Amino acid sequence: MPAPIPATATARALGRRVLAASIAACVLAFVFSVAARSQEHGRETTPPAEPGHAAPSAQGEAAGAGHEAQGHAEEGHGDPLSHVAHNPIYVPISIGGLDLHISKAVVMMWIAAGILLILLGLVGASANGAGLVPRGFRNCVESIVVFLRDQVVYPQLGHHNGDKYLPLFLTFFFFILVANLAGMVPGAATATAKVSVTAALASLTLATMILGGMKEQGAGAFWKNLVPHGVPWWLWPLMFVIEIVGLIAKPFALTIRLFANMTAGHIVLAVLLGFTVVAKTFLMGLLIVPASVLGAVAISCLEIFVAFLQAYIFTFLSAVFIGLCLHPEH
Amino acid sequence: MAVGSDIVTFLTQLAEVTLGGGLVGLGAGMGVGLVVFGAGFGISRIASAAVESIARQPQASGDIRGAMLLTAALIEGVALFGAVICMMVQGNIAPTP
Repeated sequence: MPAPIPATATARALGRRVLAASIAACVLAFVFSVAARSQEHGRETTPPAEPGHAAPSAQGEAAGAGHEAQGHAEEGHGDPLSHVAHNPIYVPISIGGLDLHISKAVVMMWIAAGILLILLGLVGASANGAGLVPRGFRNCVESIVVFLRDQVVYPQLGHHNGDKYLPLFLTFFFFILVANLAGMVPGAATATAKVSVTAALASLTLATMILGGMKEQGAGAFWKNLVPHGVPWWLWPLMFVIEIVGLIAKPFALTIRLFANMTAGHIVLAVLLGFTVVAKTFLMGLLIVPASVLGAVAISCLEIFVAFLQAYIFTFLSAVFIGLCLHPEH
Repeated sequence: MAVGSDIVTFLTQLAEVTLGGGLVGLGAGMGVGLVVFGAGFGISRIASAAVESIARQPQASGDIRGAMLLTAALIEGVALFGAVICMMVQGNIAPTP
């Protein structure tokens, strides 16, 4: 029988720390989108115009020309794929040359944080009147929290560190879950389908790995303990470089995994629904549209499952990596 | 002479396709196909081992199901990483920040 969450001031403190961590995630994602955008000079971010920070702009222009020509056989409203990658800017804010615009992804993150504030705040506030047996929505939230605490955080971090870092993992799980699910609403965008948002979340993991590890083991000892014991002195520099690359690669994989899962799911959905505009006659439409829509419904159910799974995977892997950095096994 | 002009036309079109970057699409498509094949193969191995072990010991099915979902999601992460690279190679769909 798992231990129940105490209905005391601890619950309210937990709620406050979850709120603070989710605000920190939003701010960091803002900062990352700034850093990415300061390398480009476009205004409206459509895929032909802004190929992203890796591809050269010449290829972007050629791709732009090709993109118009080989779109999805439509003439009017734009490619079904464009709404997946399209990130309209609502309020262009520029602070000292830094492009801090407010785009749809930013608004979706605020919506996710607002939903979490209201829902989890209400759940935490109801701690006063609740007995030992939770009911209703509090029961649902508490079962998720207890599962994360007992199956994810405590096995990786131990009891003491687990209690200290639990709000971070709860924030990861609930924020990513709500952001993923909010993208399934028609007309809304998935915040976690942007690289900057997932990079911000993974950089929270990286920061906790490094800072938590330095606090736990001592500043110099953390970097020394990266390399396992028993490595000969002449191999040590190479092993150190390898371990540093490994340290960076783990949050990088977290970034790409979450981003690619969300983006790929929505691209598949867009492509499936985009088949409906291929139909030129009524008879073709009669054949194509039911298959397309049913496929889109099935993929949407899969997307909801993937939303939960990716939130859990991100949280679990963050717990594993942070646990490894706090207490390296020798 | 007709044959010669046909050959010239064909070579011109071939040069256009290769030098004009048309093979990028082919590369991206084949890349994604290989990635999907690798991911499908790996996840099928996980699923077959999981199903076999559930058949051997049904009371452990909860643990086995958890491990199976976790490792399948990890492999899918790597596969989608390859898919993202192919998308970036193709240039039409880019990860906008």
